[in-house]
Amino acid sequence: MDNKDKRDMMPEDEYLKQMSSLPKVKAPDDFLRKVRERIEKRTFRERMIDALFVPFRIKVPLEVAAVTATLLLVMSSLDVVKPSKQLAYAPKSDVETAVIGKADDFKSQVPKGERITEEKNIKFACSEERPATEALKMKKAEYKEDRLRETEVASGCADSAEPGLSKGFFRADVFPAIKGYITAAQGAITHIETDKNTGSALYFDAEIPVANYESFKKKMEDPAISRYIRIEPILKEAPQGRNIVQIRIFMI
Amino acid sequence: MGEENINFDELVLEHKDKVFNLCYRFLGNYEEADDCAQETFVKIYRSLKDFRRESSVSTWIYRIAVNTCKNRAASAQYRRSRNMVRLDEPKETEDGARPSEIGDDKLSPAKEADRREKGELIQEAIDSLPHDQKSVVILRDVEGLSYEDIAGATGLNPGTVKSKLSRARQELRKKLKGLV
Repeated sequence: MDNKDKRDMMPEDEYLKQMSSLPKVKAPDDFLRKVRERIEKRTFRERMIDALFVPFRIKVPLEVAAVTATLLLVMSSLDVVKPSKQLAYAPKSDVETAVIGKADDFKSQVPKGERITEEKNIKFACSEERPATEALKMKKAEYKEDRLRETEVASGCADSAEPGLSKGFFRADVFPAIKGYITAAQGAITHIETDKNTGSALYFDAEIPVANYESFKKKMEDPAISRYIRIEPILKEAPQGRNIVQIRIFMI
Repeated sequence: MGEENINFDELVLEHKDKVFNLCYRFLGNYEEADDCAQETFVKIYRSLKDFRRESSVSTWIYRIAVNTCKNRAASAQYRRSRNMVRLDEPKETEDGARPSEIGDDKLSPAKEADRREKGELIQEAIDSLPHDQKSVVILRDVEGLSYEDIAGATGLNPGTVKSKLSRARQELRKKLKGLV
């Protein structure tokens, strides 16, 4: 510090004198009472926060916390993209309705629940919990403004079960639909081969009574279904003493 | 109330004026100082059981007070209040009197006014300092703490305390030249 700088400043001894002579401001007389009140008046919110974050008072090095958070983030993002996670169940508000066949045919045949595919969320309106007629009413109410879709649904559910399944029919619907047809034809599924990674059906074997096989086969020829499957009769003819046709249906 | 509470009350009574004065000099506002000093003692109450006596009680209390003041000064609420309330204007009490200051009661009204004016000018100069320099200069030149105690209270090295104090003093001496 040169002399010019010193000239521009208050002398040090004067400065120290002024600072030390600054009046001391006293706390109010009721200070202790106010502190006490404040301690006792801790809000419910503060107490809740304290209780909730007690575990976080354990001191963890910042690096460890950062690495843990990163790992959790990576693991959760990997978990999301796993194919098996893509076939989850959806909340009702997220699904659309696809209707297959006549209500009476499917009331007790189509599996319960709502399934999602990668392409679109699908709900079977003709499940046991929601009969097709009821579902149709619901659908009409939901899509008043969408007359075209309404018509599609109506025709799919009430009027013409065969041929002409709803346009909103996807690969994931095929297996439940075929299962329904097999049951309707008084047949049974004897074996299902599934993809180990995705859990979806690769092919399945079924037995259909000879008497009902032709009508079942016609239903399978509906383009909505046939584009997703290939049927191979295992036995060309019914074995003696058994009036059934054994078939294998490949999902394609 | 248990024994710990009685000790806490004694602690408040013993240190309240020092803490209050520190808060007032740091924040330059009586109401804010009152609130901040109360908050300091609430924090002290909550962490009393964790106090390990690595430093003196006084240094520990100053440390909490300095940190509370810094947090308060950095808060948006405080900045807003500074824009609305005139600095250095202690709030009048219910009976219309100003909060009491420890001083010479025998001063004439003219001298008292002069002293108050000087105090306001010095306070304005202190307010203009950065937080670290402000805390160091208050603890040393107003409260009279040793460098070691200031280091303990601020968490700075003694060397850093000296350099910050030197810079703060230069700044204040420049600002106060010819004013006081």
